[in-house]
Amino acid sequence: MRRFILWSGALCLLALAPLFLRSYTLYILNMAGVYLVATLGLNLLTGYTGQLSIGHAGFLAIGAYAGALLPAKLAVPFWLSIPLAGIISGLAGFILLIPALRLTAIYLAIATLGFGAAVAEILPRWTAVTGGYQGMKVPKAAFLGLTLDSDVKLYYLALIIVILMILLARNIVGSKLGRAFVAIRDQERAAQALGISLTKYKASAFFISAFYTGIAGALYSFVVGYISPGEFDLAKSLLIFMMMALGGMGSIPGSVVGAVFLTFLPHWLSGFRGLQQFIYGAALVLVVIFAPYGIWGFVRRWTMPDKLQRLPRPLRAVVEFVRG
Amino acid sequence: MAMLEVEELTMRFGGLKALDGLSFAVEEGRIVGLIGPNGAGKTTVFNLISRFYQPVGGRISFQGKDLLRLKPHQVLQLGIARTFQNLGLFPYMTVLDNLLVGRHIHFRTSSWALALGLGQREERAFRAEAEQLLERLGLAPLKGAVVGFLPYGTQKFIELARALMARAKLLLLDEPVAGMNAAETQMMGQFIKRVRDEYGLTVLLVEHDMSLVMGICERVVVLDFGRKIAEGTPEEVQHNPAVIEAYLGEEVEVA
Repeated sequence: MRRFILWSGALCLLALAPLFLRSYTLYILNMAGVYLVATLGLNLLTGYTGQLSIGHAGFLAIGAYAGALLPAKLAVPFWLSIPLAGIISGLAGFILLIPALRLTAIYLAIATLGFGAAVAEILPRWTAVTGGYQGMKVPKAAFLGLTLDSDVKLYYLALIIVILMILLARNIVGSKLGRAFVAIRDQERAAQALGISLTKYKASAFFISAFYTGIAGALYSFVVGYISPGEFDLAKSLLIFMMMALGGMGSIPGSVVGAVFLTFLPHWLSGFRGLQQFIYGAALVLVVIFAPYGIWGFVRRWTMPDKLQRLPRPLRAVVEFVRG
Repeated sequence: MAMLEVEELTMRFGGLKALDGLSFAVEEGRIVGLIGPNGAGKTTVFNLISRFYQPVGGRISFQGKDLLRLKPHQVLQLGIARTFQNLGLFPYMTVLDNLLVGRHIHFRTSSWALALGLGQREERAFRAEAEQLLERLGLAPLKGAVVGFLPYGTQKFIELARALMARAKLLLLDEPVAGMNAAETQMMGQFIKRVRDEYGLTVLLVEHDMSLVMGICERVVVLDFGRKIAEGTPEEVQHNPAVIEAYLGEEVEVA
C-alpha cells in the first residue's frame, strides 16, 4: 500500500512537471527519456546477458531513420511507426547474433563496434533514402488529430513510452527470460546443462536490446525534429554504454539514474565555461572510484544497508567482460 | 536394458587420448561411482554426456535414445541433470532464483506472454515448490541470499537442490563433496541416498573421496588413463590388484 502511494505520487509529479518546468528543461528531460530507453536496452544485453556492445548508436540510428522515414515516405501512421521502428531495429539486432555465437567479451565488442561504424558509413551514402550528409527533417508526429508540435506534448509521449518500456523490462527481468539471460552471463555451461539454448536466448537478448534502442531512436527523431548521420557515431555508443555502466549494470533503476544523470550533467556544467570537459571527466572518474557498484548501488548503500548483499553487479564486471 | 549405456567411447584432445574405448552401463535406480586417479578421464565422461564435447568414436545412449545426436541444452529434456566440479551456480542470483533456473525447461508460458507480465500463476507455483524444497533441506532462511556469498559446502547443497528442481531421472554429480570436511561429507552422502530413494533417481557420481564412494555407491567403475580397469561392488574394487596399482603405483616406484 505504501509503495502504491509512493508510485502514484511520483507519477502525479511527473505528469504535472510541465506546469513548473521551462520548455528548455523539458527538452532535456525528453532527451533523458530517449537515452533512458536506449540504456535499458543496452543493460538487458550487456548488464544482464553479458554480451558487450559498443555499437548501439547503430540501432539508435536505424530506429531514428525508420521512425522518420516510415511516416514521411510510406505514410505509416505515427502511432505505428514507433513500434515498427523498434521491430526493424530489433531484426537488425540479429546481425550481431552471428558474431555473438562465436565471440565473447572484448572480441564481441569489436564486432559491435564494426556494426556501429558500418551503419554510420551507410547512412550518409544512401542518399536516395536518408538524404545523405545534410540529414533530413522529421515530420511532426500527429496522433488522432493532435499534432505533437511542442516540448510539452512530446514530454507526454516520452513519458508514456518510458513507463511502458520500464514495465516491459521489469517483466522480462523478473521472469524465466531474465533468469536465463543472467545464467548465460555468469555460467554458460551450467545454463546449457539446465536446458537453456544459447542460440535462442542470445537471439532474444539481441532482439530485445535492439528493439529498445530502436524505439529510443524513433523517439529521438521526434524530439529533436531533425536527424543527420553524424549524430550516430562511436561517441554516442560510448555515451549509452557509460550511462549503463555508471548507473548500474544489471539494474533497471540504475539505467534510469545513469541516463538521467549523464543527460543533465553537461547542462549543469554549462556555467563553467572552458572547464566543462574537465569537470565532466573528473565526475566520471569519481563515480567509478567511489561508486564501483554504479550510482544506483551507491544510493542503495545508504538507503538499504541491510540489503547490501543484493547490490547489482558491479562496474568491475566491465573488467571481467574485457578479460573474457 | 540399462538406463545409461556407454559403449566404446573414445575421446582425444590433440595428441592426448583422454578416453580409450570406454564401456560401462548404469542400471536404473542405482548409485554408481566413477573413480580413478587425477586425469583418468572422469570429468571428460561427464562432459561427453552433457554434449560439451564431441567424441572421436563410440556411443552413448540414455533409455535407448542416442544421446550423441543432441545439443547440450537438449540433454536435460531427456532427463539428465548434472552438477559441476567447481560449482555451476549463478553467483549473483539469489538461492531461490538459482533453483528457479533449475525449473527452466518446465515453464509453459511463452516468452511473449512473460514480457507482457503474464504467467504469474506458474511462476508462483514453481516459487512455492522451490521454497518447499529449501524448507526440507533446512535452507529456507537463505532463500533470498545471493549464492556467491554463501559458504562453499552450502553452495554444493544448493547446486544439488537446483538439479532436483529440474525433475531429472539421472543425476550426474561431479565431485559432490570436494572441499568438504568429514561431517559435511557424511551429510552429503546421506542426502544423496535420501534423494535417490525419495525421488526415484539414478545417480552417477565422480568422486575422489573414498569414504563417500565406499559408503553410498552400489557399483563402482574405475578408470585409469582413459580405460576401464575394474568394475564391481565397492568391496570387489577395493581388493582389485589393478586398482591398487593405479592408485598406489607411483608410491611403489618411489620406494
